[in-house]
Amino acid sequence: MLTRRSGMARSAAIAVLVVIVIAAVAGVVSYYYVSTAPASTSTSTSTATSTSISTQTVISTGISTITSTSIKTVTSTGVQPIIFGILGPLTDVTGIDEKEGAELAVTEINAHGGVLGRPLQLVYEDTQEADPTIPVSTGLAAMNRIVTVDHAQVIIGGERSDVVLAEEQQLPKYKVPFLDTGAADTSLGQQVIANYSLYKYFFMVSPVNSTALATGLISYYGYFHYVEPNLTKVYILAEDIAVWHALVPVLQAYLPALGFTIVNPQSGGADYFPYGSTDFTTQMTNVRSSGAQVICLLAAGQDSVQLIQTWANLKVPAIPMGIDVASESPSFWGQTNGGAEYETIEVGIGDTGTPINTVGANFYQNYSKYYNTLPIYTADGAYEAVYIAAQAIEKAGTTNGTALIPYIEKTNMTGPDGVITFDKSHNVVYNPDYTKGAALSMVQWTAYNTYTPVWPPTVAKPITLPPWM
Amino acid sequence: MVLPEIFVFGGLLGAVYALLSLGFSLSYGVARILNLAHGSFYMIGGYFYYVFLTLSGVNSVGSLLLAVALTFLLGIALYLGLVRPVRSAPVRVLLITLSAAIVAQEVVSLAFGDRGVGAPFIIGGISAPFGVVVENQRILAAGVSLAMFLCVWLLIRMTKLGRAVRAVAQDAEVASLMGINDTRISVITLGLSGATAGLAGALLGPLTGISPDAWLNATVVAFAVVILGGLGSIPGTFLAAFLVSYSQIIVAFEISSSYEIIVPLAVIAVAVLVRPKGLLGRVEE
Repeated sequence: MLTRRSGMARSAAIAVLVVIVIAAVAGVVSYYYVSTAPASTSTSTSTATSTSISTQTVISTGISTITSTSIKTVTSTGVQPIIFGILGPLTDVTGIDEKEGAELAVTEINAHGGVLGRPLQLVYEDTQEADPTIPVSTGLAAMNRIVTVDHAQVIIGGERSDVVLAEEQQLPKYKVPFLDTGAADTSLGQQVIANYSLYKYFFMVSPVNSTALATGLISYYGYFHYVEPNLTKVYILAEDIAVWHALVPVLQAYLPALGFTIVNPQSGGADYFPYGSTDFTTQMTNVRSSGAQVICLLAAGQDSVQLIQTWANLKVPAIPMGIDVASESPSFWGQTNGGAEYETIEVGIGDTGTPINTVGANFYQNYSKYYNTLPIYTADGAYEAVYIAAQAIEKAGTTNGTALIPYIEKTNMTGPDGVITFDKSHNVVYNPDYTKGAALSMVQWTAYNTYTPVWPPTVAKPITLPPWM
Repeated sequence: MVLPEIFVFGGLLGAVYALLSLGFSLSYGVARILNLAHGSFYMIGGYFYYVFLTLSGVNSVGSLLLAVALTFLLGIALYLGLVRPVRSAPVRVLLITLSAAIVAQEVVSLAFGDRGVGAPFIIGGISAPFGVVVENQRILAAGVSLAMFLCVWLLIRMTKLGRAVRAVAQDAEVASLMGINDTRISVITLGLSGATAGLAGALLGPLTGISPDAWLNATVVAFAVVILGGLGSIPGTFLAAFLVSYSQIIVAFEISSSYEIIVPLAVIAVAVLVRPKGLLGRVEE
């Protein structure tokens, strides 16, 4: 018995030791992240947010600076802050950029005295939706918290269309404006048209919707055919998700009309791979054997890291050109060990590294300076969304969600992506001309942290083909 | 049908599957532990390799060895810390190893984010066996996996330790009466289990990327291979690894890669229904 007890005690001690080691590692990692993050990018949820805005003199916008005392003075006088909620995958690059873009805008606005004399304050809830295994219910629970516990008066964020669709269903209950800065599915806007009184709270700020993304991509392919008339064989490679199933038939209809031949051997004329795939040797072997010269890539998930790395490693003689959300992150180059070179992707024109207006120039400069990285579309989307909501509150003179809707609908402002207006479906209006709407661009990875714009023609530089083509 | 491609890719993948599943088979066959955290060793092995290679400046071979050593120790820690206290209750073993896998996923996710990481290859370049273009890293992964599999098999068949392992696998009680320390053998088995899966993760990780949730697919594949091959049968594991990999590659090339992931699950269902003892397994009492 004594031996058995001492054995059990030893086991218990080892178990405790393992837990302590795990906790210590987690603690060290957390400390590392917190201590190395910029002052206003606290990864904590709601309670940390007021600190994140008021901590430091941070943004040098070229217009003014902000000090911690200014906000503290305002709050200490009893003025209630206006609360904006950031709802997204906060440990993923899309959510992190949403948070940072919003923080930048809030800091600038507060530096100018806030809105209606009140400071803006951010609260955060993590939906974890970048992980495809996380259920929609996690997003709904986070949304419930951000409204009922954190008391957000405007919600900014979203990433996965299925999660945002479910969140949109909750808006009639909460009656809070939801400015989407990640999901692009057109059905989100169709809900607004189908039942305006219930879903009028939803607005798609960034990116432009999937129809506009397709329009931009097709326009680019037309231009590409003009500059590279001998590269006509296209292999369509897409994640097996609803948004691409909707977009592929459009491409299949238009690309042949532009002079391309679709060479997929699959019966449906497209190669769909499961979301979250990790091995792309089959697809790359098929691309090679099909004789394709261009891979029309449609990817929303992180799987494209492996896809592009495999493409580069195997030196597949077809250039990938399409929509690749993971590739919009500056870290993509490192993740693919440089395999991203030559990949050409569609981005918001505000994310090309070549600002199109002074707002974009300021945003790009401050974001890069402050966060030491380049923004992706969710960053400028959230930046624009904060200004849209702040402007609406200022004009409406209230934070009442229903009262704000007409003012958000009338938005007409210039942001990093061009002129922001909304159509009847509350989707940001796409226009190839960035002085008339939100515009898109195609950029090619040419070096670490470097995109080269290759479309539209007004900003285009020559596209570079891989040496193995 | 693209026969050369199927032959090459199925073979290369099967070798890594064999190594990945070996430890799962051993841990059940010897220690009677159905370890649902087995895929976690694969995932953590990939992360160890990534951390040592890209963040610590250790070279690729050193990183690989460190990953193997640390997953060996993790296997031992898992057994002593979590499994041993509940070993007599198989359901509790299942629950505690599943919990350990989820905790490991969350810890790794906290440290490195939800999205995966990609480590540089040990060897770069491409080759074209049978006219099929393939990365040299993939060939290396298959070669090292086969070599490691052979070493473990020789260890089990040819050494005194291996005899003790087999004795415990046949009858732990009688082996114990013969003076074999059952706990020591189980510790070594779980260590080996961790190390082989960790090596598979470190070898395949640079090719497929490694993410916090990679453990799940690895566990499912190992489960399918071992169920099909016969729980505890090393030759069965070897044979089944190639059957599963070839099935997946054929489905991917001839039908759609969207259905590739279904293959191991279908294998589990069919094997359990049609031949519960597996291809080369013993009849369970």
